[in-house]
Amino acid sequence: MKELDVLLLGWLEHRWAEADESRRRSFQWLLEQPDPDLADWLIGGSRPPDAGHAALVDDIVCRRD
Amino acid sequence: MPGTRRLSMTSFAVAIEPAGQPRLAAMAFLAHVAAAVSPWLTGTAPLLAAPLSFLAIAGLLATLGHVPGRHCRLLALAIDGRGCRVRLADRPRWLQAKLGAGARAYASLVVLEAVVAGRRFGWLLPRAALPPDEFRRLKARIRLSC
Repeated sequence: MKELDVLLLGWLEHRWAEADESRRRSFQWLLEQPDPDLADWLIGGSRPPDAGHAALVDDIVCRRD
Repeated sequence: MPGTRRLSMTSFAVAIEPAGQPRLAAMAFLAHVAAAVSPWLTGTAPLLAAPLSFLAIAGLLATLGHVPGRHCRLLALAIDGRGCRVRLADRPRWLQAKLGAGARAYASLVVLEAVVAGRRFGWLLPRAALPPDEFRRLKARIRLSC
């Protein structure tokens, strides 16, 4: 889905440089997830169970809003 | 390490072996043939039309060499903890490579350039050439490498 690309790669462009190691690991984990899960989290409003991953999703969604 | 756009070699693992792209090859063929023929159809002087047509045909060959399929020497690419490796059509083994500076990631197209022992190989990869998650990881890898 193009929208997922826009959200994820937008975060990569703008936030990766200042992200700490755990946030970067969360992002790498997010990139490995299937599209339906990513769509649920980034567009559908649900969150992954891990708090660190959920915080990253919040950050990505905040950028979009 | 904050402050750097570079990735460690263990992140964003990518392993791709795109299928042939006959539609992209056909589009490239038609566009270049049209470019080769148009000087003759528009009454351009032969001294100018001939080199223009030659350039169009040379461009066609170069472009087809980058479209995944039987004209393309680059067969597969893997980026993981062992670095960047490629497999070429005429070599049975994986070869160490690096992403070239000409690699670009656009919304629906990746222009991939891999350098093997000083020689450049590449792909034009439309979105449909790869599974969505693989295409996304490849774009992420290229964006952070540039």
